[in-house]
Amino acid sequence: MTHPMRTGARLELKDVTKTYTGHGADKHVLDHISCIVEPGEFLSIVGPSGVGKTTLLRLLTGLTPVTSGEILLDGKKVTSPPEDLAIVLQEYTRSLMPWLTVEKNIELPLKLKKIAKDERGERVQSAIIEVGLEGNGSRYPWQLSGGMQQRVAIARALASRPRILVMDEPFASVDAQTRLDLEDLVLKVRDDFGITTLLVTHDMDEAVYLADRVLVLTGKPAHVAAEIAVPLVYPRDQVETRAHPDFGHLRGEIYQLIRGKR
Amino acid sequence: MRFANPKNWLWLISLGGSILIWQLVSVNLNDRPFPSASKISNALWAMLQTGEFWGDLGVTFLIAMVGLIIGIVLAVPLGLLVGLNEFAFRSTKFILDFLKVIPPIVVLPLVLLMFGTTIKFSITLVVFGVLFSVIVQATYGVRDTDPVLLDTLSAFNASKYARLKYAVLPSALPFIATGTKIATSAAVIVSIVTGLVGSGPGLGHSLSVAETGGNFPNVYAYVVVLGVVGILVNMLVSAIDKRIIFWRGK
Ligand SMILES: Nc1ncnc2c1ncn2[C@@H]1O[C@H](COP(=O)(O)OP(=O)(O)OP(=O)(O)O)[C@@H](O)[C@H]1O
Ligand SMILES: [Mg+2]
Repeated sequence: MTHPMRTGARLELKDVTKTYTGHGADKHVLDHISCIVEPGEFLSIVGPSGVGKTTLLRLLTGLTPVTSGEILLDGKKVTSPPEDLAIVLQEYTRSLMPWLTVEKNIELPLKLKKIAKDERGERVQSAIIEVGLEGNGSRYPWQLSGGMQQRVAIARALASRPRILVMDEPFASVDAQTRLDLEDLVLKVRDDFGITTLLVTHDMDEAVYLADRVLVLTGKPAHVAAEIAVPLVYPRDQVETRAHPDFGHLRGEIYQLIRGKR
Repeated sequence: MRFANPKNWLWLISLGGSILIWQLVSVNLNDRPFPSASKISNALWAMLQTGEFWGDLGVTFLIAMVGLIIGIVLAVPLGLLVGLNEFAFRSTKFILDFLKVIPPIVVLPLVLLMFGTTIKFSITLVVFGVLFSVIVQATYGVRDTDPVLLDTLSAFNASKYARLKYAVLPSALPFIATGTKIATSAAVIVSIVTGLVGSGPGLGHSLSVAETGGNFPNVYAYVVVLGVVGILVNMLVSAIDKRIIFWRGK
């Protein structure tokens, strides 16, 4: 299998503010968020529930408009869903079409992009292999376990060959072992393709384990409480990395930030 | 094994029991309005030999199916349009719910005046009986589309048309199928009623003629036929539904 080498996209958030209007009182959710994510970087985003993590992802995927500020992907302003970006939504089980097989689900975005049939087939197969779903292509999502469904959602995101992958609490509702497997899968994907990766999680261990850098959001409205670099070496290992003294230190720091400023 | 499980042939026992009780009771009653089960079955057997019966059955079936198809063909696009448009949905909701519960028999005299006791009259009435429940179901189906699916497609830069094709329509399909199931029963009933009450062609009319003529064994024979037709049609529709909407409830 060949992985055409791609480089990740560079993402820049400039003073991004979001206020939801309509349906009663206005809700000021995000306040002057600025951040730069370098090509190929892995950024975890953590923060208490309801702080605005999903909102932030929706803004940078162009699904929801910003109130003020700018989001730039490779220097280009994001106003609608960018070609080079793929997202795995928080409700991933609901994001799969129950009337389509695994293969057809993965193929759908390629069809929408009007990619030729042969090429679509190739990409679907390599995405299925990448996430370890060999032999499940003709099954339906509801015939799969939660962890496997999540793999389908990831495969679907990968098939469109994005340069930036954005995931919203992707492992929140799978069992512990599956979660570790999926974490390592995401790291492998980043390694294989060099894509820029953003992952929202409420699990501080997970945030540190995966990322080059952790963005901590706190407050109402939310602001960037800290950007914490994670100096742990890659490839990471579920046992060794987590046992590293720096690991405990970093997660403690993040915990303090979130608990202290809630 | 299917037959090893008593649950699977319970219906047969209860059916046999009912016929037996009918037979026992009817032989002790006035024979005129309560013919015995054996008399009814003889009448039924004789009826099945006549071309007239099969003609009637065919006409009744034709009326139901043509009315059903016209009704669905009209109702589905209407329902989809109404469901897609918030304004249309809000402004028609009350009227649709209102029309849905009006039995077609209410408008029967009106349609009868328009078309006389023709097959057109019967079909029009069936369409009326089918239309609103399917429109309403299609509307709800559209509105039941999971916003997560729509977001997913939007994130892939899907056009409005693509969102309709890949999310809205498949989401509405189970609802349309349910509406069709309800409508199919309605279509069969209405096609009989048009003959029974409005003297339109078909089994209903023959039944009413048998009743007026005091031929009670035939009346009951028709009732048995109608029941069997109803069951068969329902089974057929359920089987089709299961095949097409295989993801229902998933
Ligand atoms: N469409 C909307 N209109 C109005 N308010 C909204 C909307 N979407 C989200 N909010 C509000 O914005 C705030 C942030 O929501 P968001 O979903 O971004 O939080 P989150 O950090 O992702 O939470 P969680 O960890 O529970 O997923 C919440 O108070 C929420 O009620
Ligand atoms: Mg969220």
